[in-house]
Amino acid sequence: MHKNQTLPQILQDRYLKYGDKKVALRKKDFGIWKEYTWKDYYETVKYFGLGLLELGLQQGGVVAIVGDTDPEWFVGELSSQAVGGKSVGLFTDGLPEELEFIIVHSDATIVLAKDQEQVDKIIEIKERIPGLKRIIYWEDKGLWNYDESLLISFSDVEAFGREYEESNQGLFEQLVEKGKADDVAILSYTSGTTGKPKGVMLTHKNILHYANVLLELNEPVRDVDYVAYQSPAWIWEQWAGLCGGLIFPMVIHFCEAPETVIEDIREISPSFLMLGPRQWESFARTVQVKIRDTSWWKRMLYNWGMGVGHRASRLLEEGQSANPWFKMNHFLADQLVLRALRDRLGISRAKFLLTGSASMSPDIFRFFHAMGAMIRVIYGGTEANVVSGTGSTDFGFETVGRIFPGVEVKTSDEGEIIIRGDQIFEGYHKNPTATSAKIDREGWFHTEDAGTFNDKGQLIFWDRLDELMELAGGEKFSPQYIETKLRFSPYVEDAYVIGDKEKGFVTAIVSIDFSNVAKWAEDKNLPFTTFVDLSQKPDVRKLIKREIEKINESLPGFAKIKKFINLHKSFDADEAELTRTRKIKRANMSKRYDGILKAMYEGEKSFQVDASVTYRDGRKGMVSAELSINDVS
Amino acid sequence: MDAPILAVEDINLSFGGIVALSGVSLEVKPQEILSIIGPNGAGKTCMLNSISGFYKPQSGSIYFQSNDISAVPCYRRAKMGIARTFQNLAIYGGLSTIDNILSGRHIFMKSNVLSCGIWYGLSQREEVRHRRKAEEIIDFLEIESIRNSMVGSLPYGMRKRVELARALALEPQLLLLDEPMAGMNLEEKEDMARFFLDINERMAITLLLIEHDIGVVMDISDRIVVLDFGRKIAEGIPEEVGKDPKVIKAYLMDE
Repeated sequence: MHKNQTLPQILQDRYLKYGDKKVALRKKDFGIWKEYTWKDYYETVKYFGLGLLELGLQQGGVVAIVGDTDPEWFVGELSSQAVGGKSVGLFTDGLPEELEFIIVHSDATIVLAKDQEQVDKIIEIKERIPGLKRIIYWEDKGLWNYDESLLISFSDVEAFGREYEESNQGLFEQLVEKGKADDVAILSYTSGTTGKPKGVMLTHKNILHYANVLLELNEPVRDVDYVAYQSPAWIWEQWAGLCGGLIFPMVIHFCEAPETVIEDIREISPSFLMLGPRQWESFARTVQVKIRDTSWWKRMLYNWGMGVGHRASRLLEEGQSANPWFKMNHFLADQLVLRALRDRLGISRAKFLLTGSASMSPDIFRFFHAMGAMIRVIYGGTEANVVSGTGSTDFGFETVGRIFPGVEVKTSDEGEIIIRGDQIFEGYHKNPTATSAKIDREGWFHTEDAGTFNDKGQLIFWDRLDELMELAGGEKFSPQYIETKLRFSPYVEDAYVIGDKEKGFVTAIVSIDFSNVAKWAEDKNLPFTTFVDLSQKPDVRKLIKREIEKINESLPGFAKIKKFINLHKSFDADEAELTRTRKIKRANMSKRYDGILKAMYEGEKSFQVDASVTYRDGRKGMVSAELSINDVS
Repeated sequence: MDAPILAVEDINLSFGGIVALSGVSLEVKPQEILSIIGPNGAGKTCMLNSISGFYKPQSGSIYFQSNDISAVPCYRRAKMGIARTFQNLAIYGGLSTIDNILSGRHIFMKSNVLSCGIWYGLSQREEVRHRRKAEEIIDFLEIESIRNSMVGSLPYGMRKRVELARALALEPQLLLLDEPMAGMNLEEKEDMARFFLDINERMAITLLLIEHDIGVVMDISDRIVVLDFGRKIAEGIPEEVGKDPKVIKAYLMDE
């Protein structure tokens, strides 16, 4: 259908078909949802694109984009593609040196940065970016008095484009037509749980793959409302929001500010919502905490309603039918409790809820399913794109669904998932050795993920191959699986689980959820001062211990957590403990917390940390604290 | 040189036998940031209260844009273009952020009970206009996420920002800020300082600031006036004032 088109070509089709009769984008601004039709969308892309040419963007040139998820982000990408270039997305919380690496490595010559915060970072590194032509911004706040010749506003570039058009009638249309589905559309730098990020070259065909599959499978995604929450620097937002928005089509809603997302989702009540596992976890956590905080009779009602919901979910999963009495009960629970919960979270109109990227605990799936919301999961990655996903009636909460049409997947003898198909990436930018290391001669892409198929033909993803650990008894276990279980507790924000052959048993480094634990402590009249202090309170340690014991019950004997320690701080991407998408960087963690791990395995009672910390304003300091090591029965 | 936007000439203020201000004069130039510092009880807040019209000095005059406003009541001074925030928060805890800001628009509203009752037409247009202005301020101070929150339930730093937002809703030419950063943590202070500079730069509003945090004062002020026991002991650019032995004796040594 759209398999042989580029993104700008699809946009042009939409514009010709709908013009200004249909809304393409909505952005909340000054408290009001402002609408942009397909005509507005297309024309902005057109003039901004021509403006980029005027600024000197070459054929095949790269525009780097960094900023919150706004229409300008989408336009920036489509414009660069339309005029024969490509784009590379950067994460807003990236440090200047991280941005520098990607901008330089990708050969970007124009940077589109949202606001003062991002512009400051680019100005800091501008000397080290060869051939940097311009820095374009789309929010002028605070930039009024900047004396920087490279700076130019988004609307000025658009104005340039309009002028350029006058002397180059029809050029834009020609350029759009010249585009090929096999041209590289974006460079996407993998978050890199190990080593430096690699630039994955993806063609239009590659990134459109998932949206095309959804259409082919007839999923309920046509003409729906969608909230763009994730950064388009993350490949998932490209698949769903940017590509899906053009193909299905959907109305993309852009939130007012990152802090207002939850409220904006509630206002829109989207029919298609994609959140990372971490965000679904935090939704579930919010519900649990708020319920703990409410009056006893509401709590009772909630417990009853969710209890009925859980039972209904189990019946569906096991394929049994419910008796009329239970059906009535479920109807009542839905009307009185579950519907209200869905409404509070803004998923009352949802038809298609999605997650992926990292593992999500089956508990979370069940939690939402009990509420009456089925979260679908897809499996894929930047290089291989989306290869499988659960359908509307697949109840394998532990699987990542069936393989999509047109994709070949199998598991190698070592248990590695390997993938072949048209949707596989073109290669790593300027790194053919890495490319040939990942794609073998027969065209199989090696994911380094461990997994298997169940008897229904659904794919099960265990963990990264090198993260799958083997215990002394030879049993294999996945630390990530236990970590996601731990995070289901409202009091645990993050956990790092370890235990391999030499170590013999499983231990965890836990970072408490400060706001929830603080709230819990206040309710208990437990005085505390800082994060460190709170995390080491005997009562808090007992609280976490109880949470771990609960999780241990559902784990096989060899995988049960025997010891844990409450860390004195949160895990932090700025300290290279997590990737920007909040996945744990294991190699760094094991190096960083070597001492703690040693102390736990050598049977110490406590561990003294003198750690360097980086404050949010960039200053560095030292924290000294005594961390207790706790045994779990 | 521009005429001062505000000129205080030789004012004396006392409460019974206690002299709060004695013979103080100062000038605020258009679009500058002027800070008043001094130890506790030096008369800083009394100075601000005299300018806003809350206190009536026994003698001396105050000129705002060359008009003598010594005898003008508070609410008229607000209409003339003087707005303020308070050391102890004075916002409506039971109203939302947006309603608090709209209350600052009150002086500009013309609808009466009757036209408000009908609403369509005049009142509707007026409401849209003022809401627009309030939303611009919300955007400026980055408080979108608390637009509909009850102000009483917000953290302290946020409430301070709401109070500032309401003062800005008056579209003042001169903004008086009474210890706007007291009780804030470092990050909140940095945000606030950034906003003051933006307000000064972008909205072209003159700021008269009382603040205890010397670091902030030195960083953002164009000029500083030092008070001690109701008298002005120094005045000048931050570098000069910081070196003045009288100031060091009276104030900086205290810290």
